[in-house]
Amino acid sequence: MATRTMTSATSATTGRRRRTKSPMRNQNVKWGLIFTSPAIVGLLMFTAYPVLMSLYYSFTSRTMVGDISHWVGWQNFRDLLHDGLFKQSLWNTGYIIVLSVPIGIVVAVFLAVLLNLKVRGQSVYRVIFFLPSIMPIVATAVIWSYVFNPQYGVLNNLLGYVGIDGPAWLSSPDWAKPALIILATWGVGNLMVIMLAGLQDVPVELHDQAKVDGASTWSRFRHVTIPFISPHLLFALVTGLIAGFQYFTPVYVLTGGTGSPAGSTMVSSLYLYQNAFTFFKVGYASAMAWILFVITAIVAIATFKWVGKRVYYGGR
Amino acid sequence: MRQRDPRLRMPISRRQLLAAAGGLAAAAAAPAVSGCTITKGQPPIDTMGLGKDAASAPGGGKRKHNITMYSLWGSTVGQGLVNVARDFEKTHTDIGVRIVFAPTNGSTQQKLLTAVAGHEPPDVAQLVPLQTPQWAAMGIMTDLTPWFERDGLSLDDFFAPAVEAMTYNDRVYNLNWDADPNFPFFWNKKIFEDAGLDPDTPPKTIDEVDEYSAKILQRKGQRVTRIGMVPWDIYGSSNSLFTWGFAFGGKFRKPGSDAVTPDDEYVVKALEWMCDSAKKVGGPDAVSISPPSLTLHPFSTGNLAMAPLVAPNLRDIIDAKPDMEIGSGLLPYQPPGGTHVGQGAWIGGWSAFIPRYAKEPEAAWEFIKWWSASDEGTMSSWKHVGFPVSYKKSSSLQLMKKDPVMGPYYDTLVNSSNTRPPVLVADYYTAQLDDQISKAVYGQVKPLQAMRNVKENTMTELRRLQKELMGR
Amino acid sequence: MTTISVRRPVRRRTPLWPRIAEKIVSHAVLIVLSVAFLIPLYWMVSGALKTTQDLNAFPVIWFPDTLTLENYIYGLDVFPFLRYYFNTAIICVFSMIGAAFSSAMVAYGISRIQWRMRTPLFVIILGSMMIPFYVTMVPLFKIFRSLHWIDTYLPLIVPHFFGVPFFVFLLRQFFLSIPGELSESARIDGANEWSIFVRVILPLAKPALAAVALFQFLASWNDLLGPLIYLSDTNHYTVSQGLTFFQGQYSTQFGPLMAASTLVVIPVIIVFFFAQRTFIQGITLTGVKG
Repeated sequence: MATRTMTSATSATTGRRRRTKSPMRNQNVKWGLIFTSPAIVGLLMFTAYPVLMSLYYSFTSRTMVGDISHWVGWQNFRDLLHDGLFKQSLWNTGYIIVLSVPIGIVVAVFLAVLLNLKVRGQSVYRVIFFLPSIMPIVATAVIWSYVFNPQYGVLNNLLGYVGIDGPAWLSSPDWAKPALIILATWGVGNLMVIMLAGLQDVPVELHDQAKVDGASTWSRFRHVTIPFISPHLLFALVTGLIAGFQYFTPVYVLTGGTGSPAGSTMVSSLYLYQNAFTFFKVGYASAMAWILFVITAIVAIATFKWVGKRVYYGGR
Repeated sequence: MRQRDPRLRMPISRRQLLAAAGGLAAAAAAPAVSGCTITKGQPPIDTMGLGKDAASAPGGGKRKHNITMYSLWGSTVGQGLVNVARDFEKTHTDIGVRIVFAPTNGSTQQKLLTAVAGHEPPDVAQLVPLQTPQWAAMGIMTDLTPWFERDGLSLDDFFAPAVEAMTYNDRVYNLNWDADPNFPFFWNKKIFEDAGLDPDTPPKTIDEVDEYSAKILQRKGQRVTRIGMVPWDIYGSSNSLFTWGFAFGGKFRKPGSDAVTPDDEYVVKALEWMCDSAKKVGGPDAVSISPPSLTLHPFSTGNLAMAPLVAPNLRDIIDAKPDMEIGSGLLPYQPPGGTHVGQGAWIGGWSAFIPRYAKEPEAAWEFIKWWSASDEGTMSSWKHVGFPVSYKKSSSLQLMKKDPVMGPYYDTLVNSSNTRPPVLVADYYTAQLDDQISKAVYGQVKPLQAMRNVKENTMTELRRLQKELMGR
Repeated sequence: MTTISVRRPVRRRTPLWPRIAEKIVSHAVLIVLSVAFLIPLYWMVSGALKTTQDLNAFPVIWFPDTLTLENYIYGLDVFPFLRYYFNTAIICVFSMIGAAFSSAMVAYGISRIQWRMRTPLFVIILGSMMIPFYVTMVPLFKIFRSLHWIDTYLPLIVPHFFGVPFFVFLLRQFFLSIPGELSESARIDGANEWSIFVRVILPLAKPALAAVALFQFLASWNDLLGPLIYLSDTNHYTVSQGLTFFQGQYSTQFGPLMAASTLVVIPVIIVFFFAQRTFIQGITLTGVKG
């Protein structure tokens, strides 16, 4: 029977849990362990050792080939605090994250909503928007180097048609990061697909009821759609932030990894990579990795606390 | 309302299928309808299949000794190396050579470093000359001196700048097989004519370069559309400063020591000239003369009058623009520090070494020795890969002298006395230079201050590393 | 709050004009956006078909007069396509299966079962995503070396069978949106957790699972770093490694690279096109009772 009560919707937000009895609890622990056993084993086998080693390295002066290594305590961390390039890399990373993550989410949701409407040729459009995120990075880098070419590139040509003299993009310290952000936005296909899948869960009846009640499109979006896709918005936000701190390949292939022009594209993971694989300062790079980890964790926790509170989970 | 179980539905509706088929047919027919021709075309170069047969040694790796070599390059160079290995195998029947394609991640040898750190290295690997001291000190390379002396080789058989990079603390660590002379000087004769200059008289000093450039410069609004030279971007910021620094007579390190001297008076003057050149045209972002595809150097556009070029780029330009008249000579210099043309040139290139933990060092040595220090090996390398060799006794040098493309490189090679500073923290030094030079060229920091920053940071890192190596 | 009765009110016909306008606007927006998204792709496809002359010509040639297949011929000669397709497909298929199944299991464990360790475990799993890969790369390589897995596909496949953090997170969010009543009623009926997982939750999460499978497929298909580090036999290389063959020392062979790239992208497009339905349409989660 296709009835649905509003009551279950509201009670879900208060998230009351039932007190379970003791034998139930043991059962739950047993099943919990069974289901999560792959992750536990995997973490122990493939993650624990590398992570612990890198933590150990961060307190040493270890070099790439490893025979030369001395305990230095907090020295690496102290040096990082005075490292101008490290600070610049944090600034660059932050700049890119703060702009590309929200823009990416908004564009992804917008495209998903657009594609969710019953338009002719829906499947073709979906492929088109998804395509950028599946292209091999080797090809993407080469193509976008061309697109951003100040003289012949597509972007400046288009801007020229509307009378704007386009900037030098990847050759300009002020415009290199915006160029990277544009590239990131072009690749929101992944996120769009997740949002689209999430949109399928929004009950059509609620929309219809709201329409009947006379709600505007925006109001319907805000009060019906968003709550139901909020778990996925949270997901997008947190994973976007985490990925932002590790943003590496596109920058590397587009700018050659030297942070040019003028250090404006030196992002944290690039500087880390340079220290580990070019200067062989594995200890220093590990310390950097752990600082980045702490920053990422703080940002993720903050996001869970602020945004997570307002997420509506249909199941609880 | 329950929806129909999607598993009962076809993955794609008939309508969609028809639409897709129609679209494809239309796309296929469009070129014919619009009147453009479709040609099968001739593949541009020898297509022996780098991917297909690179890996296996003849006999399926069943020779007595089998070595692995990491090759960093794809395309024609990579294929060339495969052919070099094959030539080696013809005369050394007990050694099989497997070439593993291990491209660099940018400029870092990701795969090699991981493999060495993980104790699974190849038997032969490559490095750039200025990395020698650091890699040797870190224990990445095997000491080749015993074999070198045993087989009667002498350092005098190699060009002096190459030798500087093959040794560290009087021990031999690698053999140079590609002595890249950077750079001869090329100019576009037509632009010279257009600007009222004699197409056969290149500038000899930097001051003359500036005079010529002033006549050549053309703009369209804010953008520069024709320019004399782009001195701040000769294959990267640090390479640019090395070239002009040497041309001005500067030194980048205290001879015989690891102490760096980026604040050398003439180096700073060179940097100042680079920054002024950029400022004169409105900043580096005002200049956009790169070609649409990334295959050719901007010199090919006909909007860049003078440029130092590497041989592969020159070759591509000659192939793509056979009508372009290109003059070639030696690099301009700047008195009083500089004294003669071509002074700015330095030897770069690549050297082969045997990583630590390699499984077949003896066989690897035979290969390296043949490749870099024998007439047949160097001839094979020249024939298949086309890079200049540093082995003075190689007959390929005579071929190089007469080669229409490589001729200018011969002059630069034999007259060159510089190499990039092989100090203990060379990679760090270069990265600092890249960063600070870029900032200076974009006007964010003054040249002298930039070089002082480089010196301070590099010396700190040097002292740290020296302490490390001495065991604290 | 009121309960909606079974009989739904008859839908009022909205006026014609706004509906047409909405359709036109949405089509227009979609077309404009499509063009923007497609331009770089057009550059790739057209670049693959241009002659070397046209590639280097400027002003830029958007619609070449002569199309050529020489880039494809050269590319296919350098790049043993079928073999690399096959290699990559093996890695992708196994990784896909492993990732989808194990991530679903783990996500179920931390979202549909009430036990104390579930949140700490989630935090640890999420945390493992936050450590930059480059510092753990060498110790991980050493682990694989001690297992003698270097130069095999195992390092690229096996770790996916232990839950991929990104997918665990994704599926957790989906599972949390499934009403608890569904699980409860199955429990009351006597089913154990495993059968609830297989019979109730998995079918409902099909869109999400399909998305996970697709993403893992893509990730493995385009992965360059993993194969680069672990594989040394050119016969075992993957398609993404094949693309690096076109990078020379100072320049890239643009035409052949574009040709090879189109060949690399086509299977993915086909997979996506046909798989769309599976993860876009699904049974509506809410609104079904009993």
